[in-house]
Amino acid sequence: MTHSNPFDTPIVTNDLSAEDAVDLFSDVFSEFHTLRNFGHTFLNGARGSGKTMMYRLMQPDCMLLKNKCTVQELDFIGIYVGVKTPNFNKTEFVYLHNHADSLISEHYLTINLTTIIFDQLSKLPFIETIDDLDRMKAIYKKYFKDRLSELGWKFKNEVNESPLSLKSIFSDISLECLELLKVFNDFADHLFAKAKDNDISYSGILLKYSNFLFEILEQVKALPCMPSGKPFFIMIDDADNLNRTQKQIINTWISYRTINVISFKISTQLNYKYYRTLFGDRIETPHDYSEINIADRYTSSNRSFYKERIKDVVDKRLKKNGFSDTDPYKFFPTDEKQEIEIKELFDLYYQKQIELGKDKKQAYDFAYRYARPDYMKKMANRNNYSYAGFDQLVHISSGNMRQFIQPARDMFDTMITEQLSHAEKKPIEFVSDTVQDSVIREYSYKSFVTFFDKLKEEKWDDMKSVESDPKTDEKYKEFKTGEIKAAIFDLEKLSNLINSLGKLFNRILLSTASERRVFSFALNDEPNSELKSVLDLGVELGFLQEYSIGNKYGTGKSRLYILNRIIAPNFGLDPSSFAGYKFVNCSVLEIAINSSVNFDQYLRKNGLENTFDKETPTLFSQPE
Amino acid sequence: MISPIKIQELKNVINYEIDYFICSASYEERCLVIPKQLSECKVKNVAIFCNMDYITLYNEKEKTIISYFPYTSSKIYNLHTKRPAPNALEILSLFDGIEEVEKKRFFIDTTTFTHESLLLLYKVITLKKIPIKNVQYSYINASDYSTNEKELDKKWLSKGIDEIRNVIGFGGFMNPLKKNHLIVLVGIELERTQSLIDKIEPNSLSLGVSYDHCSKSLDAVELNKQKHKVLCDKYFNSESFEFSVLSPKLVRDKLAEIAIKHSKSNIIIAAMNNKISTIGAGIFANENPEVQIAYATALQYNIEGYTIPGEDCYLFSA
Repeated sequence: MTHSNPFDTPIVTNDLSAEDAVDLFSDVFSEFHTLRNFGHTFLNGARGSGKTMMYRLMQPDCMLLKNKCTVQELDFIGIYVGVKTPNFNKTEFVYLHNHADSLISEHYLTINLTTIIFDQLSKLPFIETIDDLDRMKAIYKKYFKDRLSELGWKFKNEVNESPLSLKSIFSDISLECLELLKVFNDFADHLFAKAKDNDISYSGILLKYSNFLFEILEQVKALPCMPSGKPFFIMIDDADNLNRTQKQIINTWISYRTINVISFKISTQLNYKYYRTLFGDRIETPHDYSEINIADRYTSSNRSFYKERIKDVVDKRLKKNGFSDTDPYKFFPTDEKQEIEIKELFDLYYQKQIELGKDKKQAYDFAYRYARPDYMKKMANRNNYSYAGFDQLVHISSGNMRQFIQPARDMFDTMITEQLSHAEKKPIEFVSDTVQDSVIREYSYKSFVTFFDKLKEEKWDDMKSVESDPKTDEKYKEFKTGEIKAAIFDLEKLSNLINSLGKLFNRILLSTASERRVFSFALNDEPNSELKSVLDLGVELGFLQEYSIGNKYGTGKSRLYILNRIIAPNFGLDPSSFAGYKFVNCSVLEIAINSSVNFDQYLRKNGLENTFDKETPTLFSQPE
Repeated sequence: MISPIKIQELKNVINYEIDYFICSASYEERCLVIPKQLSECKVKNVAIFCNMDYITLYNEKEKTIISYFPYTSSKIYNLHTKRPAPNALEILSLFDGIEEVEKKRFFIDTTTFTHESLLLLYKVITLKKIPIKNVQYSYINASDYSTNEKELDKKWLSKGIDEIRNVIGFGGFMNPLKKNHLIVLVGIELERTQSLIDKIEPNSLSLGVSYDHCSKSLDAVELNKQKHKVLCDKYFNSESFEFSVLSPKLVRDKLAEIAIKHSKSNIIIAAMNNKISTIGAGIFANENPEVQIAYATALQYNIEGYTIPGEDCYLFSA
């Protein structure tokens, strides 16, 4: 039997059935418990980090299946709102600028959300009573039918005076809002014809979140069949795709602090970047919302959760695709010869430490710390080091599920391709270590080298187009090209920095330093604006994660940066390095960002452990 | 199916007076081919669209076009890649300035318009209710693509995408209660197509491959098939279909067929093959206003080796 690729993913996560979602994906909420708490939350994570999957698992059908409970027993009712560019953000909306765009845009968002919310509510298996129905009829009349009629709306659908169920009323609300949406769409379609005469007049009704959607939901929430005292979670996915006015509107809704009725859960791909409300003030954390940065969880002491999660995901995917052995360690085996040799070295070191009088824990720590680096150091050709093995692949993925799944998929496809050349076709039961190693090395290369090349090309093209525009004001052109040049230089500097650090950490790995498995650095002093700009760019692009730690003098905080382990194969680093970080002077990093060659020369001249200035702390110091 | 004529024959075929000749200047040599031939016909007005982001790369081709019509009124209209809203108004302004526009005869060289600008142009023509018989579209083929790359799988026309947006006038109606079905008329721009699909994240996908071709380059034909296959392998749940690049009406019909099959979904179209098929997409979307046409702006064009002009001129109506 030929297995299909167990790491194929559907184009759209939200299309997974509740059974598949619950089957395939493990519970992540032990790590992200604030996501399920009352309160507005921003959930930030790179593409592929699992945000949509979390939202899928928070939808009622999944929760009812997993918890085997009734709707009334749910902790919240999760409504999924996917913001795909074609759905929410039309090009024509640009014409609304300076034409009451915030009011009109709020109306558009409100009716979109109302349509979606009541459609999803209509599909829930409420255990409703006559009381529920009577109350909902009254809510419908007062907060929907009469409200819209007062505003001049002529109902397009026949009003059902004797609905038989909540489902029927919810569905009526949804369908009538769909009609409102159609009318709005018609208005939007004619915007460009109206814009030429500067005649953007809107004569339709205008609905707002605060005095329409919120009020209805506040009433609906109080129905006896609803979870008592529990809010709606409106889960807006990929909110980066909203335009600026729409973001302002969402921020304004967040600022209203309606968390007992509606909590907004907003997922972003780290590109939301706009937190002002319609009134000009900013929403802040933790005052207005809490924030979860998915990458954080995977580099803190909670990283074991991530590994367990991936194990669970691999196990479930393999089971679902009919594999007899679903052990991730067997599916992604290590290079056996390499691991045996490392183990032999480990045992040797362990024994030596015991002979030197160290206790078992100390001996173990020593052996663990040095066995793999020394093995890598002793290799005749270090490029032959294999990155195969489940543990290494998990480390390399750096807390991003997609950074595990995508290479895994490519690995399986490569196995299939290789097998085509064999006369005897056997089912693929695991991914060979050679395939794992070659695929992950290529993935690592593309994630760094190709990525930077592409980004720099894009910026150069941007500059060409600005420079070549004869109609642009010269002063603006100068400003804009200056800005783009700065961005290009920042990219080059970041590329130099990553290059320098990658090679430096490789050097440390192969040195005689006491801590060799280094993947992070902390700053001894405050960076200047040039260096700060480069470090910030590194964080934005996902190459670095930033934290603050106590400084080595115990007098305050220092900035700590951790490299994305996806670059480990590219620079011959040990991806399991979590233990060590080095303090470094900013002046040294300033050399690195300007030229990795100069940085290399500096290191050759001064050595890894020598100081740059005896008055300042050492270049590289051990954390206490 | 449209049969081409040799470009040298164009002046013999156009035996009527053209009130407005509309074209787009470009860095491509192809932008000069039809204007040069048409200069021997009776043309009263010439409207040349220029993308101001790339005009310095045109080597003054817009002026060359004007020079072909020394006794004709010519005007340049400015477009910008990142400003679709003003672009739409700029195109509209051409037609707003024409008295009794519905009685005028238009000849449009579609060859070097961007897909988006061409669709905007088509939309304006329909809004102005200009009769179909009064508008002649034309297209000159390429004898080769990406001429600076010898290896077939390295050939490229554009790289990367900057932004994805609906074409103004083709926003469609995206029912939030329906899923999204994306139909792609695949060309040879693999990376751009993949980025568009990944960004839109449709619930379902139809990938079209052309069964006919106007390029004389067999390599280009083979490349198109290869790119289509790569996409089908990547998006293994997608459906595949064939479409014509030589007949807008056949494209319209094929899209209608697919749309019926996915009538429960919102339909989004990405026209990424030649301009003839793009007009076909425009016709379909115009007849079905709930359909959206999406456009992805490219980050980089292969300006050095984009195309070599062919000799076949296609004349068609919408």
